[in-house]
Amino acid sequence: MRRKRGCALLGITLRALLRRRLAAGLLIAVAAGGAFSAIVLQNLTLRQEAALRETIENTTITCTVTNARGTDSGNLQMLSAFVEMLVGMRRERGCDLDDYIKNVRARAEASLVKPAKVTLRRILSLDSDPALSQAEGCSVQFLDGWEESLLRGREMVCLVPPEWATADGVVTVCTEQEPPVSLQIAGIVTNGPANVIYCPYFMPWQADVSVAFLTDSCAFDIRDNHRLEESKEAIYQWFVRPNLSNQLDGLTFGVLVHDEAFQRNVARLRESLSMLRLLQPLLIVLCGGIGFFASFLATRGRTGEFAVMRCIGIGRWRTFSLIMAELLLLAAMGLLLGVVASALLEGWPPPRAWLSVLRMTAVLLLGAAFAALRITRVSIMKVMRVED
Amino acid sequence: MRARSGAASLYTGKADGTMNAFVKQAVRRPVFTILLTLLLSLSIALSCIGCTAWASARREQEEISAAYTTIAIPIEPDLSNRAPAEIASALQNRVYADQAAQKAPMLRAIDRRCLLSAHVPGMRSLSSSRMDPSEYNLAFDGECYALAVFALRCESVAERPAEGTLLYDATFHVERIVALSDAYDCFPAPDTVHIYSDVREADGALPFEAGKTYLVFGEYEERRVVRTQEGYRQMTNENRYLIPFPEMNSNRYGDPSALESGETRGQVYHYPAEGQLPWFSAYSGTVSEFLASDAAAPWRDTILPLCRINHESAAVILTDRVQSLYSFNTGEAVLLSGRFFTDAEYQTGADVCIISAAYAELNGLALGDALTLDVYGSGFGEYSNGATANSLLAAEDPGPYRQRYGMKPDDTLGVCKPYTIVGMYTGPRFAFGAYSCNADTIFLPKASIPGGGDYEMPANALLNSFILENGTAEAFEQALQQQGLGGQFLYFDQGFSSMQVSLKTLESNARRLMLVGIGAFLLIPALFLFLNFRRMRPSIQCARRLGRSRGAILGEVLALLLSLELAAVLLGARLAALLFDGVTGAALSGALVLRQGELFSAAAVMAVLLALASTGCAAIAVNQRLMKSQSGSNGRMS
Repeated sequence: MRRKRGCALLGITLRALLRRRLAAGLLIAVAAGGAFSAIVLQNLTLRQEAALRETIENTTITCTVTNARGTDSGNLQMLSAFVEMLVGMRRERGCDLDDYIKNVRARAEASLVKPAKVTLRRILSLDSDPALSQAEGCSVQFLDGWEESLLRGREMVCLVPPEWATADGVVTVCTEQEPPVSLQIAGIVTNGPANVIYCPYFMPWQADVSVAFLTDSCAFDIRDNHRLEESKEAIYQWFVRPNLSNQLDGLTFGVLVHDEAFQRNVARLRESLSMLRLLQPLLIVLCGGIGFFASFLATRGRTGEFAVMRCIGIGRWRTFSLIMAELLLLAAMGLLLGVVASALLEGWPPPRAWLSVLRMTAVLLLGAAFAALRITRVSIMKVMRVED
Repeated sequence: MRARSGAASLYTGKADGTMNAFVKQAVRRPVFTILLTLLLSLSIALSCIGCTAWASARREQEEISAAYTTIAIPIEPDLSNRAPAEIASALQNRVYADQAAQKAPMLRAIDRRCLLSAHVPGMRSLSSSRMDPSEYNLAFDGECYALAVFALRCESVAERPAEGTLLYDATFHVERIVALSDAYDCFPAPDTVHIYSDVREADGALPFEAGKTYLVFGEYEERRVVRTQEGYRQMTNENRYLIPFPEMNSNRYGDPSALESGETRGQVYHYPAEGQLPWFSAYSGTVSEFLASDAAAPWRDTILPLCRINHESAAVILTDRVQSLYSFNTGEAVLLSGRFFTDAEYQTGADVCIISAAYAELNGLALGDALTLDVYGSGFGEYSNGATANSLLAAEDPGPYRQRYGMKPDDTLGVCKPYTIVGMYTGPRFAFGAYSCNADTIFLPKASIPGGGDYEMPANALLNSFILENGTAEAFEQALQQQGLGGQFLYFDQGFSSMQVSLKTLESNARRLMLVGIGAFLLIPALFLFLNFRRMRPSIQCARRLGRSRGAILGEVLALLLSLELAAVLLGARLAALLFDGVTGAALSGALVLRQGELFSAAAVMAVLLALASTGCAAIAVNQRLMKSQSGSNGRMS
C-alpha cells in the first residue's frame, strides 16, 4: 500500500519535473555527455596503453659488449665462458643472465695452419658477423637439411666460400695446437670475406671435449623490455658500464645498453598517458558540478510543491528520496543515451569504461543530492509565507 | 506576468537611465548568473585543454619523430663470379638508383659525406697496431701511417722476372730507421727489409747495388700477426717489405701517374716520372752526415716533414648527419659519451668534432678539449670485390676496406683550426667491410670545411645515406621498384617503426580529446545563450513596446552578454592553464608543456566565436516581430 502510494507520488512529481522540459533535458544531457565522455576518455586511455605496450614489446634494445674502457668492441679477447654465461650454459653456477637477454651474437676467430692463411671464424648466428650482412652484398645458402640454428649447436660443420666447396662436402682444418679435423660443409657463403671459414660458435675440436677461446665481438638484446631496469641490473652484475677511467684487467668487460632513445620516448608517451588518466577525475568533477547545477535548476522552482508535500505529512527524508528518484531516473535515461552514442561511435564499452561511467554517475548524483538536500531543508513556514 | 511587470518597471521614466536594464536583471538573480557563467568558463577550460593537449601532442609527436632518422643506404652489390656485362649493369643500376632516390617525394635530405685526411699536430695517430699489435694490418695503416725512411745497406739484389714484369728482390740490412711511426715500436726493430718491385732506373737498370748504403723512402710493411690459442704471434718466418714511394697506390694510380713504363728484353718495368720526389739516394759515410749535406735537401726539407705529417694524421669524415652512418644504425658504432652534432652546428658549420674513445684514450683527450685539424683532400683507395673502378682487393685481405692516400703538401684545403670535442663514439677499432670506418676517424660538420662538398662521392656505400621521412621506407622502396630499381637500398629507422603505433595513437587520442572539448564548447555556450535569452526575451519585448530603439536594446543586451562571456573566457583560460599545468606539471615531469600562446589563441578564438554567436542571437531576439512573439511570450522566466 505504502509502495503504491510512493509510486503514485513519484508519478506526480515526475510529471511536474517533466513539465520543466529544459531542466529535465539539461539533466539528461549532462548525464549523457558525462557517460559519453567517460567512455571515450577511457577508450583513449586503453588505446594508448595498448599502443605503448606494443611499442615496448616490439622495440629491440641492443646491448654491445665493449672492453671495460669502451674503446673497442671488435677485438675484445673475451673468454668464451662469458658467452656461455650469456646463452644460459652457466646456470648451474648461479648465472641466470639468459632470463634477461636473448639473441646473443658472438664472433671469435683463430688462424688456421691448414688451409694456410685462412681464418676459422666461430659465430652464434649469421648476424654475429657484419661481413655476412646483406648490405655487404653477402648471401649464405644452407645446404639440404641445415639451417641457421646449426650455428648455436656443437656440430662439426662449416660454411665456406663457393670456391672451397668440395665433392665430398668436407673441409679439413687444423690449427697450430689442434690436430686436423674434418668439417662437413653445411652452407656456402657467396661474396663474403675471402679466406674465412665459418663454424658454430661452440664447435669442439673433438667430440664431447669443450674448448675455451677468445671472443672478438659480442652483442645481445634485452629479452623483456618491460623488465628493462631489472635486466640492466642483472647485466651489470657481470659487466661494467664502459668508461675511459676503468682499469683494463682482461677479465672485466663493459656493456653499452642502447636504450636512451627508447627510455626517453617511452617516458614521454607514459606522461601523455598519465595526462589522459588524470583528465578522468577532472571530467568527473565537472560532471558533478554540472549535475548539481542541473538538479538545482530542476528543483529550485518547485519549492512550493515540496512544501505542500511536507504539509500533508510527507517527511523530509521521503521528500528527498522522491527528488532523488526523479533525478536518478533522468540520469539513467541520460546514461543510456551516452552509452548508446559511445557504442555507436567507439564500439561496446570495455569493463573499465563501465567503472568510469559508474564513478561519473555517482558524482553526478552526489551533485544532485546536494541540490535535493538544499530544497528539502527549506523551512515550510518560510516558503508558505513567500507564496502568500 | 511577474517578469513582464518587472521589466516594464525597469523602463518607466528611466528609458535613459544610468543602469543597463539587463545587467540589473542579471544582478537580481546572481546565483543563476554566476552558475551559468561558471558553467561556460568550465566548458571553455575543457575546450582550451583539449586544443592545447592536441597541439602539445602534435608537437610531442614531431619531437619524438625528429629523434629518429630513417635512412636508405646503398647496398654493396654482389659482383662475385659475375660476367663483365652483369657487373657493368649492377654498377649502372647503383648510379640510376642514386639518381631515382634523389627524386623520391619522401626524401628529406641526402647526407653525402666526404672522406678526407687531417694533420693533427702533436697527436699520436691511431694506427692499427697502436693499441693492440694483433690488430696490425697494412690495409689499415697504409699509406699514411706506414710511410717510412730507412737507411739501408744492400746485401743482395736478384732479378725475379715474373709474368712479363721485370721484378727484382733486393735484401737490405737496416742501418738506421730515420722515420717510422712510433706505433711500430711494439714490434721488434727490423734488422732486414726487402724491396720486391719493378721500379728501376729510367734505363731499366737495377737501382741498388750490393754493399752500398741507401736512404730509401716508401711504405713499410711489418710481419703478419696471427692468433693462436695461446694468444698472438708475429710470423717471424716472413719478410718485412718496403714498397717504393712511387709504387704506392696513390702514386701508381694517381693522375698523372708517378710511374712511367719502360720495356727491356720484352719485359715491362717502371721508373719514376720526372719531378717526383726521390725515393732512394745512395750515400757514403753516416746517414747523419748525408742528411746534413746539400744533396739531402729534398729528404730533409720535404720527405721527412711529409712523414711526420702523415704519422700525425687521422681520417676525417664530413657529414650532415652522423646518425645516418650505417655503423651507427646497426649498433656497430655507438656514442659512448657526449652528444651528436646539433642541427644548428650542422647548419653553421660549427667547429666541433666527434672522435673515437680509442683516439681519445690514446691522446688523453676529453670532452670539451680542442683538437687542431689541418684538413687535406688527399683522396683514398677503395679496395673491394670489384664494385669500384680501383678495386684491388688482395688475396689475403678478408674483405673490402678503404685506405687514405698519403697526404702531400699540395692536397691541403687551407683549413687549419681547432675543433672542440663534443662526443666520443666506440665500435670495432679496425674492421674490414664496405661500411666500416676505423677508430681513427674524426667526424666534422660538413659546413665547417669550406669547399668540403667538392669531395662528395655519390653512390659510394659508406659515404651516402638518403634520409627519409620517418615511416616512409616502404613507400620509398616501392617508388624505386616501380622504376625497376628495387633492392638497391637497405633501410634503418632506429626503431621508429615500433614507436610509430604509439605516436599515431597519441595523435589520434589528442584529436579526439580536442573534439570532445569542442563538443563541450558548442553545447554549453548554446545552453548559456538559450537560458539567457529565455530570461531576457520578455524584457527585450517590453523595452521595445515601451519605445526603446532596437540598437539601444541590442547594445545593452550585448554589453551584458559580452561582459559575462569575457569573464567566462578569462576564467576558463586561467582555469585551463592551472589545470593543465597542475596535471602535466605537478603530477608529471612536464613533457607536455603548456604554451601560453596556444592556450590564449584558443581562448581568443572561443571569445570571438562567442561574441559572434551572442551578437547573432541578440540581433534575432531584438528584431523579433512584437505582434507575432506576443503569443509565444507568456512572461514566465525560468
